[in-house]
Amino acid sequence: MLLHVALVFFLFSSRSSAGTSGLEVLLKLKSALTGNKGSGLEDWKDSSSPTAHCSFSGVSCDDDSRVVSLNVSYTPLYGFLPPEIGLLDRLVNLTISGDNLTGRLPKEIEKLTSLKILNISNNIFTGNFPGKIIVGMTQLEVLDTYNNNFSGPLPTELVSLKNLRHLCLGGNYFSGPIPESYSKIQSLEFLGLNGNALMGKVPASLARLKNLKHMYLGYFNSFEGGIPPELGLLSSLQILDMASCNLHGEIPKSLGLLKNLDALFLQVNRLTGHIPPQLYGLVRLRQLDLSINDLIGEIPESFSLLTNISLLHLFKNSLYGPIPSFIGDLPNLEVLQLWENNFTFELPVNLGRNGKLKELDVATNHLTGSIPRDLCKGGKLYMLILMENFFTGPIPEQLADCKSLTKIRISKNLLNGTIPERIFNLPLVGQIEVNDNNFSGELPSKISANVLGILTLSNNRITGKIPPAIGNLKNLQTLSLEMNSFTGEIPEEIFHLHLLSRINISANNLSGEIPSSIALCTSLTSSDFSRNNLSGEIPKEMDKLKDLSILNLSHNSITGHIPYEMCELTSLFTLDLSYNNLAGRVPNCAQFVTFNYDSSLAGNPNLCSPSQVSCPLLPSQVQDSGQARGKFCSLVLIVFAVAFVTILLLMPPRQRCESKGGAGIVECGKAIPELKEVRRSLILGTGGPLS
Amino acid sequence: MAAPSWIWSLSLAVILGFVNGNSEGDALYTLRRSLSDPDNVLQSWDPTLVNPCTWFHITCNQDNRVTRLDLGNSNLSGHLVPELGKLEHLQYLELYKNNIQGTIPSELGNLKSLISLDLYNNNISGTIPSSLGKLKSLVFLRLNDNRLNGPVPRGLAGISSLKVVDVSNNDLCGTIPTSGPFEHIPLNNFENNPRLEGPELLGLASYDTNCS
Repeated sequence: MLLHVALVFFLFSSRSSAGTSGLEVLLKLKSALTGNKGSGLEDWKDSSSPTAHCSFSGVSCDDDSRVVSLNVSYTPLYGFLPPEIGLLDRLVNLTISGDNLTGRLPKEIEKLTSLKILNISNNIFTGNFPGKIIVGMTQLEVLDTYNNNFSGPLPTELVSLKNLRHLCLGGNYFSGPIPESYSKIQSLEFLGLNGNALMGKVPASLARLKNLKHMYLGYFNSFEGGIPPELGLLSSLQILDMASCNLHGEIPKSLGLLKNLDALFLQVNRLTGHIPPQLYGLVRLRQLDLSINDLIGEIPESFSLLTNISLLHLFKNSLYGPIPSFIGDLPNLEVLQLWENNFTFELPVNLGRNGKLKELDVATNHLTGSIPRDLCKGGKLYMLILMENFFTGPIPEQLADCKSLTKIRISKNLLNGTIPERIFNLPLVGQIEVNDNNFSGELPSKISANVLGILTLSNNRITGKIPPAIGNLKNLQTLSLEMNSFTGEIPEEIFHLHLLSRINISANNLSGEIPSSIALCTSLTSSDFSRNNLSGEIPKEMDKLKDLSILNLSHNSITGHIPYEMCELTSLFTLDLSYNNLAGRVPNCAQFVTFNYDSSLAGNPNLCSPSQVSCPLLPSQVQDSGQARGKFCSLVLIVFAVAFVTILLLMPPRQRCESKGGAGIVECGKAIPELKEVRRSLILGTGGPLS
Repeated sequence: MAAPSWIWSLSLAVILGFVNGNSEGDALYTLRRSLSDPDNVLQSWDPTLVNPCTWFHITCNQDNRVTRLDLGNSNLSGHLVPELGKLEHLQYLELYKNNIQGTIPSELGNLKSLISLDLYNNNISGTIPSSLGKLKSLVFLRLNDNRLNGPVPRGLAGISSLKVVDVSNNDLCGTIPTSGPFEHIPLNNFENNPRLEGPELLGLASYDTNCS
């Protein structure tokens, strides 16, 4: 290395004055900064011109062609910082951020005594941070080492710097305590020590940093004790972030003195006690996050003075009492998250009237009363989460016009009335969860929410038919309609939904057959149609549902036999066909061996297990091997059916179309069904039973 | 650094230092980051949510613990992650018919509730971890149609619940276990493993020679 330096000095002296030294040094820098797999700095090329380096990208020179600024950032260099950097002794700005540089900082940096900005953030430098290199940089204003792999103690040599205003050592692995001496860096405006492995107590003496505007101490650090009350004296402070660093104790009331504070982040700690009412002094405060702590007590009435507040996070604490009505009057409130507390009484009726509300989550409290009408007055509400409370009354019609909504989660309440139609047409809504309420009435015939992925209406009192328009929900993945009073048939339009993976329509009054077009629904993994009045047979097309894992058709009136094709369903783990009218033999294949007969197939008196020697012959059985007589009977019936249909076709067309009923009558407008469909309806009879 | 600070604090708050709830979401998000997902099936996997129970292809139980991961036939590539082993309530791990590479993390042996492990039809290499012998509730083990090598771990014979095992179409070696649940596994579930010898003959010559 000494040889390198000597060589460079030799080259200096062998050329004319000033400039050329810069060119040589930069070329040396380039070869070190650019590692084996690195790229960049392509324009840093040797030249006969002594001042060529001043036009290199990222390089600025002074009038003497000496490099004063080197700014090469977000370039995939993958190299290291060599000692030659120390030769650029006129350097004022060294910014090499996000270049994937590794290794340690060379101590030659200490020669850069003119440096005002040293930014080596977002690299992979390791080792201790050599504090001694800083001592000579008396002009240093910015030191940014954010997001590297430095370890060891925080450097204390910085305290002698009189001009240091921005100090960011965050995002490293520094350990040990925050030095008390940091309180001496009076010029400091920005202190970032977040995301390290610091411990010990937060020094109260940091309160002496009268010019401090931003302080970040949280995330991965783990301090002893709590927030020093003295921090309330940091009168210039705009952002105080001490989130997620194991703080205990109470929130000091002196923090209410921070009248310039814009954001107070104390979430994810072990803070206890009440929220101090004195925090009303934070008149500029826009964001307050005290969530995920052990706070108790009520929201202070004095918070009505925090008229600038736009974000209020108090979730996951043990707060109680009412949500004060002034919350509905806060003129700038955009985000209100109070979930998982013990709040009682009603939501403020004015909530949302400020026209700015975007997010509301009050889930898992003990709230009562009705949903305020004007939540979406400004047309900006995108998250509405009220679940797990005791809300009563209907969904306000105004919410059905809230086109900005993306999430509606109001399940597990006591809401009633009909779900407004237009909710199912909101253009941006991805989740609608209204399950476990007292909703009644019918679903609308017009449904068009084409971003909707989750629709859960289960455990309500909804009546009427399942609208075929559900087939318009092109992005639907989960459909949950169970435990209602739906009637009519399963509309086959549901099965045109290519992304539908979970469907549950159990515990309703559905009738009719399972459409064979269920086979189109190729993403189905879980399908529960149990506890209805479904009839007909299990479509053998079910074998197309290759990812089907759970199939529950129990407690219906399904007849026929279990299609052998179901043996192809190698993902079918849970099968429940119990309490139906299935007949014939259970398929004797590997997949069916894994099912527990008692839980999967019980309650089908005519169903024979593979171990039964003989199986009663029934007219519906046309597949049983070796039952020649059965085959003969079906042959006769087929001939009969063909004849019958031929006669029908020769009849004059009917004037009015009736719904189908009785064997052989084709529904008006539908294509003539395939022969086997006719045979099936003849044999099993939609009128009187033949089987 | 100051400008998006609240977004940073906001999203990190829910991810980091959480009580116990979201370590499962973190583990799954680690899986998302190591998979390549051209069909965007993992688009709903939002790590800022308090748990992964509203994510598509995830099923939770009533305590918001993940019980199923259904990503069969989803055009995924990339590799599995050891963090999957943290899903203690996971019963069904369905990753079949993708293009997943790399090895089977031995941490999957920690999935003590696992009933089904379906990794078949992928591009997985390495050995079958012997830690899978700890999966005492396992019923389905399908690793067929991969590039697995090494022996069939003998510990699997101690899983009495095992009903379906398929390791065909791999590069396994040694002998085919015949004890415990393996008494009922048909031989063609071991076929197309050129170096896999026949069923082990208990009490005779040592098995698994030249197969580490």
